[in-house]
Amino acid sequence: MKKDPYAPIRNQMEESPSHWRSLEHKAGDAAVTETLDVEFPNGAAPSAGYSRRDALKLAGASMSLGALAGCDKLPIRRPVEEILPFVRAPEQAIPGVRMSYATAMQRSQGALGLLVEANEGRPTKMEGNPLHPSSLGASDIWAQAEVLRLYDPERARTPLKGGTASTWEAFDAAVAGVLKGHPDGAGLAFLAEEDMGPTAERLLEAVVSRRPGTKVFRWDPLAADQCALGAELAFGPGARVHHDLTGVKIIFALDSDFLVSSPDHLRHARQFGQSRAVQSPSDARSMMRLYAAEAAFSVTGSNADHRVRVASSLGVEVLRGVAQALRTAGVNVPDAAPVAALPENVQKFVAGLARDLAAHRGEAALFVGERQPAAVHALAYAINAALGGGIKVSFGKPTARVSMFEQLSALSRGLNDGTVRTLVLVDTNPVYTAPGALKFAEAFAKAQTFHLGVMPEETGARATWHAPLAHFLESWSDARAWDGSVSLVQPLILPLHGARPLVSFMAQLAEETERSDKKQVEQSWRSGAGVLGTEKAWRKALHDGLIPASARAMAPANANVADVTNAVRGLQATAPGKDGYELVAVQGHALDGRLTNVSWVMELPDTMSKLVWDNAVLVAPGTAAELGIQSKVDRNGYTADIVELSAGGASIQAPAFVLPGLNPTSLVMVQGYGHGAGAVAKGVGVDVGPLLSNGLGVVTGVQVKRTGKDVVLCSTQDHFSVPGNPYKEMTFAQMTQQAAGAKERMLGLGERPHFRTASAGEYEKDPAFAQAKDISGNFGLVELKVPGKPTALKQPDAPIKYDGQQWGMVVDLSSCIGCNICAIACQAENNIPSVGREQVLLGRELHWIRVDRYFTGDVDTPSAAHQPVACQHCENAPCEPVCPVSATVHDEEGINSMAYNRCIGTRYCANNCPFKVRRFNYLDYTKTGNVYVPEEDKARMATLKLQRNPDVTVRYRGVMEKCTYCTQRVEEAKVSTKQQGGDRKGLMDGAVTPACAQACPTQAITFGNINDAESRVHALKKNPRNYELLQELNVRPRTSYLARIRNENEELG
Amino acid sequence: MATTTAPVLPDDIHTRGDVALEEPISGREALVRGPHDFHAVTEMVCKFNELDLVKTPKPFLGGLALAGALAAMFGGYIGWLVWEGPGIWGNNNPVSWAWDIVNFVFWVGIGHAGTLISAILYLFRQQWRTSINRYAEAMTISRSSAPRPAWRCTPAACGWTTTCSRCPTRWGCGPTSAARWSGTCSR
Repeated sequence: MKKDPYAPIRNQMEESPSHWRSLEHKAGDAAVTETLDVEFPNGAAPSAGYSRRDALKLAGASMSLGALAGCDKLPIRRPVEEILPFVRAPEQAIPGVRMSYATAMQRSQGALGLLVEANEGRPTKMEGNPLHPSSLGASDIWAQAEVLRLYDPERARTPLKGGTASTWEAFDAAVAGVLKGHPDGAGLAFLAEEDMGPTAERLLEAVVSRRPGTKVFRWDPLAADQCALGAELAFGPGARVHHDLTGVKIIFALDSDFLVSSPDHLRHARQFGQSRAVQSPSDARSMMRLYAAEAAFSVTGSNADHRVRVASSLGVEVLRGVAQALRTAGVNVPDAAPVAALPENVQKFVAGLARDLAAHRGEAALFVGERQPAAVHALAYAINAALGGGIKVSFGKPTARVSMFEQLSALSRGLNDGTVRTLVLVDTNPVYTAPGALKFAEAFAKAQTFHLGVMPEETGARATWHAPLAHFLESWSDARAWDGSVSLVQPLILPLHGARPLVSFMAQLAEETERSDKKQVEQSWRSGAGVLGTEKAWRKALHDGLIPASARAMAPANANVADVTNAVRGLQATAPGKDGYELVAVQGHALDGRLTNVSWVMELPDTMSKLVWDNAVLVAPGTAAELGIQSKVDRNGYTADIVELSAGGASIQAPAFVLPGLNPTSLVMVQGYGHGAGAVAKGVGVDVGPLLSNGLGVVTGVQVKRTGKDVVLCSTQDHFSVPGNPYKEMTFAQMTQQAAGAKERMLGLGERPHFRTASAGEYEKDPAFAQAKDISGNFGLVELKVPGKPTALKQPDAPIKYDGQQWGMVVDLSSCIGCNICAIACQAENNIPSVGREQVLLGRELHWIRVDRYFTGDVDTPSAAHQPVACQHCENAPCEPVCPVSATVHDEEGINSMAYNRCIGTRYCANNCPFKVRRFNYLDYTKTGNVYVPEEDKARMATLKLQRNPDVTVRYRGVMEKCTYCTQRVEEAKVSTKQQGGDRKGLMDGAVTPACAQACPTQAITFGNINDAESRVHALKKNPRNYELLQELNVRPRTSYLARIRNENEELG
Repeated sequence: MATTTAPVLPDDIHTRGDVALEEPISGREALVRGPHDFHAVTEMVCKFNELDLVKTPKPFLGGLALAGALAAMFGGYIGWLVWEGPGIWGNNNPVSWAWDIVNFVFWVGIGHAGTLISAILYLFRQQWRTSINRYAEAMTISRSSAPRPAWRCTPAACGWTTTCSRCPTRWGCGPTSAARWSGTCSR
């Protein structure tokens, strides 16, 4: 028996903090806690990448260059730029005023409607389209990242033949040759994602009808494939299930992350979040209760009221158990009983869940993740249909669906045996995403391949031809949402590098004479009796981003119980164990790898592990102890052992990272890393693909071996941690007399976690529980002691009188699901650069919003909580008086502003900020250096800089920055109100929405005038759940939090 | 007939130098003036500088080389700092200060020691101050001249434009009044 390194953690429950950021924090590891005690983590680290030798080299260089400083040869002078007026100004375009266009992004899980902002013709920011059923005004990380992907400098400028630049003429000749070579379509195949949009699909059908032998294969790891197969099993061919959480009280998520990655996840998140945002104790009992059973620790799992760890392979058994219990309770569900024995805690969970479901008939919804086979989905649908509520069904074309993995396997076979001679790939990257067992890359090389893609990626680099595909922001098209609603896709910019739109490509392949994407889309919707026949209807659809009445007809769910029973009966489930672990491949922010080349996504900490610029094999603490895997804090990162995972003859080596709350027999790995192409993506993390052998992303019988090597992983989980047990002000002499963490150092208030939470019952008993121990009136504890005059200098304790418009923010932790969209939306809006892996390891990330993830409870079965923290805009802001140049000051409306032009970078403010939310540009991260920018950076920034928001200053090195409450949006609202004859000092509630609040799917962030008694933010501040962080410091933050209410089933405890 | 004009000496006997003063402390005259006259001091200072290079003693050349190397290193590091930015110091976001605050306080300390303490001693008529006065002044002068670039680069941003030079900033405006003010106090 190996010694359990986590035993001390388990044994000292009473002494450890109730909310902990990492295992080391809970264990009181000196590396984390000592730094908490002195406020600073891990000292100043020597900068990686600079050695003494470099210093000497540069010393010589800078001396000689310094002498040249006066010469005209150096590009010190600003380049001559000319301002020219438009000869014919574009309609409605006013220079300096941004415009929004409605468009949509086609995905396999259904389109997402977007409003895209354009500044002088440059798309700069995506927002959700409030009219779109899948968005409701919110957006997700993928949508935010797409705008940077549009400007990716690695997009091909010309078609590539065998990876080298060619011409469009040569490409067109090659395409003509292909069409000639496959007159009946035999030997020609297409590989596309689930849905390319109605017009592109119409043209693809035209190709197939003209050349009937053409085969069309579909592959997308992000598609809701098992979900659709399960729906067909339960409801018949062509069926599609639509979850609707209206009126739902009980949700069960089996291995599903439905809050961030299922079809319509933004709508689900909205409905879930709003139900959780209780306004009074009387609401608390009516909120949704979320149960989750999963192997990985997903965002959904971290929001669950009850979460049980179970191997993905045993998912079916959990659902069978639920079905059995429900059948006993008299619900007409398929007859299924668990075959394998479930652990006792899971059995208890299943029993409690089943009783709750039975008691809430008509108010239940079940979600099953894509890692579960179709039959499990069918069983969940059947249960859901029998219980009523939660789901509706729509029917499309009644053709039997073939799973995507089987389609890709068939394609692979076709390529190998020569039946597929020419393959056209439409914006898909199977060379990277195909499960390793298919050996797709080898098969791919055997045929003539045409890759149409926004980015070349691995597939484009190996294809016979890669043709640059216009981004959806550059082309006309149309897109279908999960509920069938169609949106028109309209371009905001001409294709940057002369790329060709998808619809034009398909028209070319369909040998249409009309190649224009716009004309083809118009033909789909305006010709003949098209629904947008009139100019008015067309313009309205373009404006709204939605074609009216295009949604599918929904019907109540009515499952074929017998079919489902048969399907489930055949399913085998084997419990993974020590002799063969289960590897679960999950999708993180980078999805299946398509966003890995987007630096914003790479730098966005993973929701649970907080890893950035890395992925790792996540293992449970108990499993790590058994396997002897170590991970320890190393400055701002973690030294992690590299392990070798092998299964089915394939093996990979990846660092292991210990994450509490995982199923002990499962190893979890985030997909989408370890690319072989892309300047950002290449070499980041490890690709899990080689181990995968099916379309589910679960591999069983995995052997784990330590390699004896280790590597430093970059996890931000301990960055910017703020002690929860407040410290006294003391002199240096007093501090040195007591050991770090000594009780004498504390204020004596006890531990006051920054994240406060209570169960519904506790909330009913004490609605103002979050404010317990708040110091009111007398701030004697922070009184400044002056010899001889003990009470002379007191901090102000009178209520602050507000005059006029005063901004403030409330974050409802009850509805916050921790999806991290606020962080990336803020980055997109505020020109925040990504700093790169090495800089994050130095603790220099620049995100203005950090989403703190806390664990509570036991090491093995903790629950987790998320708390977005940005600048709190304190009324008694500690940062302000210490600034020698008044670069950070309150404006008249209470925003703690940053005057970047004044900032000389003394960093006093950051040293004095108790929330650690100030960020400093240590180096020229924005690549705006005005003396010399390396050619490589210059070339990259040539397109990337087009994304920047002109309303926000691009910060150069040496400048402090932090959340400004999106002051540019406040000013914009004032200007437009004034233009419309309104009062700029009395904006309507909701006139200003910061980027974070706008993107938030659950509307957890509310911003407004706290001095306006009618405003939402005012009402929320009066809610007894409202509390301030570090209230005992009397800094009076303007951002406050609403404590989280959990809706636990008392039966389960 | 040649006439000789007697030199006109100041009236104040304390500044004339040709009147032997009655000394409050015995031997002070000798201690202050010493055995060297101006010529001797000049000879001592210029002895090596005015020699031919080949005749310059090796230790002097070695010392000069060392000092030159240190000066070059100093210039190089400041150049590197200005080129790259304060990121080269290895600080991070909560730990904003390290070497730079030490350097800052060191020079502030030296400046205070040189001027403030010297002034206080003078005000309290501490006669023994005289013996260390020259050192204090030298220290103060050197702190305000030699390390000025370092000091100005230290707590501040070291943007090429914002602090180390007075030309317009990145954002196209001249240095703001606040920045100017900071520039003044950081001298």
